[in-house]
Amino acid sequence: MNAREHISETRQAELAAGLAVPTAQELAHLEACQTCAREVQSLKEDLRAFGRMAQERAPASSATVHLPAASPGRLSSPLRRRARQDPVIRRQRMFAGFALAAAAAAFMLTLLGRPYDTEPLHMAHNKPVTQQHLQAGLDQDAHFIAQVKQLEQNPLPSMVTDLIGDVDNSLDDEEFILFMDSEEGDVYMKAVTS
Amino acid sequence: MQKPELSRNKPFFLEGVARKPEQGMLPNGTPPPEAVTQLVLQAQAGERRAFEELVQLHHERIFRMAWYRLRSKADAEDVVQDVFLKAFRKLSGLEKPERFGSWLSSIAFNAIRDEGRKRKLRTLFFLERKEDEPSPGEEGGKGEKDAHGTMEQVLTNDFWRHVERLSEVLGAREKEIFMLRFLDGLEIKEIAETIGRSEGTVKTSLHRAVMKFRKDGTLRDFLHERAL
Repeated sequence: MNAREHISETRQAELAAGLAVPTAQELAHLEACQTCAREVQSLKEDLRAFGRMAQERAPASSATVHLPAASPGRLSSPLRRRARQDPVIRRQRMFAGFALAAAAAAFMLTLLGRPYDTEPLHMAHNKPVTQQHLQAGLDQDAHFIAQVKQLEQNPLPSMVTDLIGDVDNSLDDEEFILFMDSEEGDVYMKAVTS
Repeated sequence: MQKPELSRNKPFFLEGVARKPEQGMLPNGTPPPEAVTQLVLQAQAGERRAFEELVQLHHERIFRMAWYRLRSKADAEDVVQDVFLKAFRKLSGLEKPERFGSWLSSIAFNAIRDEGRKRKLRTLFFLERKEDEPSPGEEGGKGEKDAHGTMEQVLTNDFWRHVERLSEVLGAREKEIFMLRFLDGLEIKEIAETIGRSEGTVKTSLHRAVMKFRKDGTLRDFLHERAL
């Protein structure tokens, strides 16, 4: 920039905002050039007016600040104690904390990742049946059938037959009328007589 | 290139650059930084009265900072309460007492951001209806109906509408830095400390924001009219 050239807009903004101090050359130019001087002054005044007006157009606070009963020094003593603490001890405590957290995390992972006690159903069903298992099942069935047959062949004890009176399990007329409706009775009779 | 020395009778374009605090009280009525640092040291030693003085000194600034961004008096007052409570609790952790102002600003900055997030969530889940906040003069927030009542109210509404429009043009970081500089009145270094960025980043964003402000003819016309 020489004495004849105007100060650039960027530089004017810098000077007006107080971001820079004018050089000797700029000073000389500002004293000589009314255009640049007016522009810098105008911008500077506008920025000031902006702050002033904001202050005038803002409300005043009516509330009071409530502080705790203790004095600032006493209240903040734990913070100071922490700041004074030996860094080695602080580091050791930090590592201990990390180790505990890691142990807890490992324990949780072990619990969550534990295998199932039983196989899933679809795997269990797809297993081939061995001859041994088959034989065991057949033996169990045979034992059960034998028990049923034994029960069928054994007559009821006399004490029970005395109580019942008629051990014949076919229905007599009265029972027939009592328990069968007419339609079912027809079917029953047809089945018995056929 | 040589930089000129600052003379006593500075031309207008040097005003505000490299200002030095005066003896006694500062021009804006606040005590000099040394006195504030002394109060911080006393508060750190446990003097409650010193902390109360610090609250008094910064209360209005922190409130305005919150109100500019939240536009709700109740929310801004909640933020102020939170900020000073946090400062009260963490004061002993402050290593540089001379940086109390920036430190408090950064607490406020984070608290406002948290409050903004909470508000967004509340709006998202319809717990709170998104409404135009009442203007500063409107007690009880009766809306625009009363705003037409006085000329002042109309001007106030217009001004904040202009600010809203400018905010839409600025990027998030530009907007925040511009507000910290020209609404909250923080210096570049303080802004860098408050938002945790380098001074270079702050200057770049601020420069971009000022260029956009410069081009906003409507807002500048409005400011010119009011200044007349």
